[in-house]
Amino acid sequence: MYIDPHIHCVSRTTDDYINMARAGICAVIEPAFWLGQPRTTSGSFVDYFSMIVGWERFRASMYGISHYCTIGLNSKEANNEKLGEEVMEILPRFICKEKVVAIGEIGYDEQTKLEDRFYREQLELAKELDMVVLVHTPHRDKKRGTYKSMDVAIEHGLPPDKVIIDHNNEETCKEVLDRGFWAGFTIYPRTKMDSRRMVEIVKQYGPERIIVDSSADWGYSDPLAVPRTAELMRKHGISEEVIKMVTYQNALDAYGQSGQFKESDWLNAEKPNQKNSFFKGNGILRGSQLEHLLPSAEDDTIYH
Amino acid sequence: MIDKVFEVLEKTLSTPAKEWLVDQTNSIANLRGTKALFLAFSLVSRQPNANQEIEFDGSIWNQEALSRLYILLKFQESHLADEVIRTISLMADTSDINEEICLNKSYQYLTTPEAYLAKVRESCRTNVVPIFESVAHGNPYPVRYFDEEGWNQLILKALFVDSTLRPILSYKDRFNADLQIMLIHFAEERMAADRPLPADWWYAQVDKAGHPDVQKIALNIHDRLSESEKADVRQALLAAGSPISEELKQLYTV
Repeated sequence: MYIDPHIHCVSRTTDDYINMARAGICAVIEPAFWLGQPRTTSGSFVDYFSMIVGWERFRASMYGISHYCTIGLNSKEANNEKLGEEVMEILPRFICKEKVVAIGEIGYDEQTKLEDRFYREQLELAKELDMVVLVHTPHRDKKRGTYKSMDVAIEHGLPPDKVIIDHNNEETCKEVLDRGFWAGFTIYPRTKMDSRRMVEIVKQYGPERIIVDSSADWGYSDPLAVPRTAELMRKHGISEEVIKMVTYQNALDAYGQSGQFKESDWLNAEKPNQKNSFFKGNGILRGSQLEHLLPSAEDDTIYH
Repeated sequence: MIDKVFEVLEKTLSTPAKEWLVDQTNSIANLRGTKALFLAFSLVSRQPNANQEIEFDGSIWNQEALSRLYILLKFQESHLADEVIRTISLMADTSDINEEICLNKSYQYLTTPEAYLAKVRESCRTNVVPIFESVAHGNPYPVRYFDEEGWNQLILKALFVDSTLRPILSYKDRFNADLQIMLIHFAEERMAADRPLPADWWYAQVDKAGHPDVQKIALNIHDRLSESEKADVRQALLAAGSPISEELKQLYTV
């Protein structure tokens, strides 16, 4: 069983969902982010947030995957001031809904004044509502941006154990862990971090507060990054206990603090079938047989 | 109405849960803006025992949904009618599944149920069956506010998503000739694709299975039916208020 605690499902295909279910991914968290190009109206945000608390959750459930999300104004689009202000007005309509496990992903892209303003305003909101926060760290000027993200979170009174700092690498990891934050690692086939480097990090730092995710989206990325990394760890002799922590348990503990992310949701979930009212209908199956979509006994690993 | 809802809630809510709800509704009534309303309406799902079932007004609710109805009624009590309609419509636009189900069951208790007609019609176009059924089943909203077009689409959609027609209030009273044409075309399409008819298609005919096209369908489909499906056809033919062909009578032992 795996959790992918960072994946942008709205950009993924039904084939991805099938492969994820077969590979043992039972729960996913979809952080609100940008769409690859900037939105021009706040209405687009309304529909996007609605989609990730509504339809996408339903779509994932058709493949037996429990879907959760985080809601927030991302750093890139925070640079449009008027839009940012409007989105801040919209957030109360979404952030406390069922299965919204954090405010996120928020933080810095170019570390501009506007990014800083909306990051701080959302940290205040998280503090007011006692919510978990998912922080996106910048790709450029990463080290300083990551440290600044943590400084500002502390300045606003967020306890480090309620904050996940994501997209870490070898350079940022130690500081994040030393300061008591959760450290997310996005496994990208070519850029951010690959499975091989991830194995080395786990060997060096151990499994405490380390969380592996795919951040799979509309770009070149891998929705099976979590199970693939787990498999590579196995090949390198890392223990099952450690693998479970970084690909399942730590994510559950970190986001579980929201009260909205419960193991029982997927352990007790009825398998999707035509008689189960939540799944039946002509939703997305279009007459196909569910049995063909679900994991079978032979599919115990993704490497066959 | 608001007192009736609170009376039922009072019996099941724990003391802290009751205090929480009263606090929230006081903020909604007294603070400017809609933030308190939006947050409270969502946060209800995070209260203990949110899923505990409660009977209210002859149907099954749960603690979460009934608390939400109470919140809506309290909001309505302290705000102008226009603002209530505008705000609740906004909530419907961005509701999650359980919130949408709750709203669909709640409109009938608001002062202007008809103001939400477009929202309810939208819920009938969904493929998420529990949302659809929150309108279709045991809810007087469609029979009171849907015109014939809306009504007929509701019935067709019920068959499409393999839901049952039996809990639809006043189904028999609102049967109409246009609906029957739609049902017949639907059956012909299914048969051409060699797919079975939905379980309730024969029940859907009420006492009008004597229609020549329905008789034709009964004749053509006979060989493909299971025994229990044949019993459904037989029931429909027995209820028919107009003559049935001898051939059909023999085939289905009517």
